[in-house]
Amino acid sequence: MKTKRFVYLTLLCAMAITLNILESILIGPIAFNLRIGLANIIALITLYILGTKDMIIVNIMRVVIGNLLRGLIFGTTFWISLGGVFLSTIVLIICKKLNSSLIFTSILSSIAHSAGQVLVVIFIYQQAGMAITLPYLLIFSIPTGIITGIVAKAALKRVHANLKIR
Amino acid sequence: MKKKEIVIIAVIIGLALMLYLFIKPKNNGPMIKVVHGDKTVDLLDINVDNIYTYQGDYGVFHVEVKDGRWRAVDVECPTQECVHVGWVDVDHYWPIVCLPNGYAVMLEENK
Repeated sequence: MKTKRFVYLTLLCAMAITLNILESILIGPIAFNLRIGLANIIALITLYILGTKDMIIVNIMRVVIGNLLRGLIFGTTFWISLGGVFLSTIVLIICKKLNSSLIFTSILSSIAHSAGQVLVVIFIYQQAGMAITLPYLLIFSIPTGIITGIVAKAALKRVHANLKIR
Repeated sequence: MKKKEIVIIAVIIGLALMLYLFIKPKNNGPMIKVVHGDKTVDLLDINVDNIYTYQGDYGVFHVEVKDGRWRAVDVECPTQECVHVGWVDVDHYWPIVCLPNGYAVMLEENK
């Protein structure tokens, strides 16, 4: 049982890291600095099939190893993604506790992710003027959150049918 | 989605709109500032066409000012995100941030 869980956890970590890197290389920002956040899909899937603790592990792994593989570890980019993931992880935990719907959880975590990133940018550059990007990012996070939520829902429907880990 | 959740999202949209109206840059002079880390290293006049060169943490960082607009160009960095932002001006303002080089180009707000 334990081994099976570990295998799933590593697979999900690998998927999150791959999506993270692929997105930054192939898709990049859609407009200005706005991204879809494909790795959030994996965080959602992990939250629902493995639970909160493992979701935290997947999120940390994706930031640390994802940035390590891109050669950006402990640089500014790393701290910014860490800030985003930190806030979105907290929101995911709260939403799970409150039994929110999947799409709503996805939207809120997406919003928290952008907000966390902007806060870190403001802190690093010590420029409150960076907050001007916040409203755009908040609004844009809603459609991207819906997209990742829909994909996660579709994936979970297929995965749940033949999954007995817990 | 539940009804409550839709309300929460509507509140967030409202908040974002309020923020949008609230933090519009105040009457900005014709100046933009180049920021490196937490220090302002240079003030540029947007009415003077020129290409400015800065040495960043990763490589060279260029700011081109032309016809009251500005952009990052010829930047040595792996992500090229700041270059993708393209031209910005006072009406279509977006802070240009180059993370690998540690530079940002922002409006200088009047105090």
